[in-house]
Amino acid sequence: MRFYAKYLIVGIVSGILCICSNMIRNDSVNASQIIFYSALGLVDWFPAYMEQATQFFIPFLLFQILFGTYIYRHFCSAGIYFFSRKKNRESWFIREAGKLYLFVFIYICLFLLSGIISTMAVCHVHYDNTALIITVYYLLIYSMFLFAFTLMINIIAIIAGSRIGFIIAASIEILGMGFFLMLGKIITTESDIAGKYIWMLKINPAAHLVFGLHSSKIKSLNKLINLKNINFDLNESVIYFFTLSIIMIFIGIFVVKKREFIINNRETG
Amino acid sequence: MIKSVRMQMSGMFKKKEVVLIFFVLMIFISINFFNNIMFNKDIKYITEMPDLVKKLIISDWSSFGYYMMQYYPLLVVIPTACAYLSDRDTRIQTYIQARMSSRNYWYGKMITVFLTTLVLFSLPFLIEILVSSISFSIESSGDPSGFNYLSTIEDEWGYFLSDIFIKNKIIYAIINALIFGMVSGILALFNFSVTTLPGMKYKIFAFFPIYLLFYLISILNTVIKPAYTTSYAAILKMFNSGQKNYPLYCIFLIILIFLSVIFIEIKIRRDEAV
Amino acid sequence: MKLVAENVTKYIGKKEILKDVNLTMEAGHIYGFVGKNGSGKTMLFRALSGLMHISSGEIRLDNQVLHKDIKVLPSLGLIIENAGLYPELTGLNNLRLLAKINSKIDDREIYNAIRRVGLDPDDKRPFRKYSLGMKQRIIIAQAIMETPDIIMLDEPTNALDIEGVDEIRKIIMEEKKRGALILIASHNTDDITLLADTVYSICNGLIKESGEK
Repeated sequence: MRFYAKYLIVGIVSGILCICSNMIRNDSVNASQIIFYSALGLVDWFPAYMEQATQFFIPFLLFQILFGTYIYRHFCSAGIYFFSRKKNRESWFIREAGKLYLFVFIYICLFLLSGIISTMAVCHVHYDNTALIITVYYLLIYSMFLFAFTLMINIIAIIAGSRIGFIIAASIEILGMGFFLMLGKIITTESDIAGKYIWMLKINPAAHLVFGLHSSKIKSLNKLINLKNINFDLNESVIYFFTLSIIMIFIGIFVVKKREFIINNRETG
Repeated sequence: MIKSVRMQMSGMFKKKEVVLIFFVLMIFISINFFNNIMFNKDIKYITEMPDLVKKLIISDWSSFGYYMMQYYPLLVVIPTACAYLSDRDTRIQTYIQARMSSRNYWYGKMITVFLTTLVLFSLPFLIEILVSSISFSIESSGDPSGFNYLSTIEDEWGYFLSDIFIKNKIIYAIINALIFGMVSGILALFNFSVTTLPGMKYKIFAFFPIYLLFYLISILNTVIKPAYTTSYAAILKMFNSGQKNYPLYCIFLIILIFLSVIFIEIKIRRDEAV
Repeated sequence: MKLVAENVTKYIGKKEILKDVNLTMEAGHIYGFVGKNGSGKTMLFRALSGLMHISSGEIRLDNQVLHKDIKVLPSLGLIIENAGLYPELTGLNNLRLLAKINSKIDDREIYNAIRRVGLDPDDKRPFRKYSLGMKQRIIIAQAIMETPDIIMLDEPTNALDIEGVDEIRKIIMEEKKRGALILIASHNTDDITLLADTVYSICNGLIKESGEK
């Protein structure tokens, strides 16, 4: 675990670069606005927003690259000797997944904290009541999203190697983001999205990350985030990524249980 | 050196990753091409048909080009990212270096990575230019915006290499396809050279440099807010109307090449010291 | 203690890797396996150790069926050809990590095992910097450190010098005296001749004949 802990520095640096660099021109800003901005709050469904979306997305891709081998590494070098002793692979996998989630959570906290602290150095930050609520949702949604996809990379890596794992997971994320940014060409009026096109948002993992599309039953939060008057509750995104995480855990348990050691090291052959 | 390049090139083009990326690009191009056929089939007059060059996938007007550029950082490194890591892990590097010097091996590999990516990221687009030239009329001059020719001609003088476009748009498209391939080659070369640094334990880490590079560029763009675009999608596509600074982009690419050579020299010296 | 393989067959794709293998092995004996490259020796060890599922048949340890009653053999020391350890850890830390799984032993036993194979437990070099012979020795150390009931050794004397080979043979005989059930696969006919009580030969996944001392 200590070996991987040093990679968390990427979260600190990304937070400073990403969040602070975007806030640098403001004299004062609310803490809730910083979180909202970090949650792709101002990204709209047009290709012109690709760069802004990419900027906040890449730190999570970097985490996935670094931690995409967190569980998989046990199936590389010493896999045979490790698993010839391990009686219960399922409980081992659940424990490792738990540790991975811990790393994800710490990374996201460091990303936010470093961003907010560095922003405080360049402008005045007001702490409003909404900041705490939006932070909780941010931590829940983004941690489960990052956990689910990083776990997906580990699981696919166990089957086919780390490179294939990342390619598949990144392709799904990029496809989702691509579709989201093209929605503006399909949705011509706000009423379209309330009707037949709402499912396009609700099945797309990228759309669940964009807080600017969401709504909330909490009035102060709804006022901040509900820019498009869409009925797309933040709680739905929490449930979406929670479900995805659970599915990944179950798939992982199955893969790890059935894994046969015919090739010594998937990474090198 | 020539033997080294020849040997490594022959191996490179047989790799699954290279073939896969070629097919992925051909799929994007095929979808774009058929989309253009469907768009043009009901148009009666050639003057109403959009310019075939403006409907190519590397044109800013292509929606499928937009999707392709989303995947670009991933696509550009997949074929060659593990060019060194695979040799290292299988230890075949030892047997190759025993037959040619370490320097020949490394510089041969650099050239191979560049050339492979250059071919991979220009050939499909050249094929599209050829097929489109055969299928659609070269005299079509409509603008996909729907505005008439006189309204768009002024924009056309503002494009990169506009003189060539005005004189011969097919040559213009070919040059852009080759530039696309060259830039892709340089990015792949840089990514490959970073993978020779210590710490690249797993093949997944080979994707780290390219994403880090694009990330840092986008951060720089946010902080400095230059008058010109730094988005790779905008720079590489034809007919993009954003402000550009081509000399600066060239300097950037030269810096990437220079850094790549430095990393490889460090690797050669480390290998020779062991 | 008895390890029994009954009608064990394994297919990988359409290829039959193990064909109707029947073996009965008892504690306190050494069983040698000989065969050409690709004959199925390593695959047999993978199947017997539970690292690989079998297509049909049964592997039993006393009355417990592998993959049904037990997932892995409870007390197993294993060497598989060309399988390594964590490259960034020292030999000692590699063994500590593996010992932590079942927590049967402490540092004292690990130190003893490393010394027994002729290495220095305090060597600070990571595994990736070991010579081939040193790597083989530390891998043997991980196989014997927990004083397992069953020891499976696939090419145990690979990459070892003459002294090393003698040392390892001595260790194998000591383990046999202790009462372990030992399986050895080797191209080195001396290993089999000097050590094995019973010899099986494998050809294309078939256990063909046995010779007993």
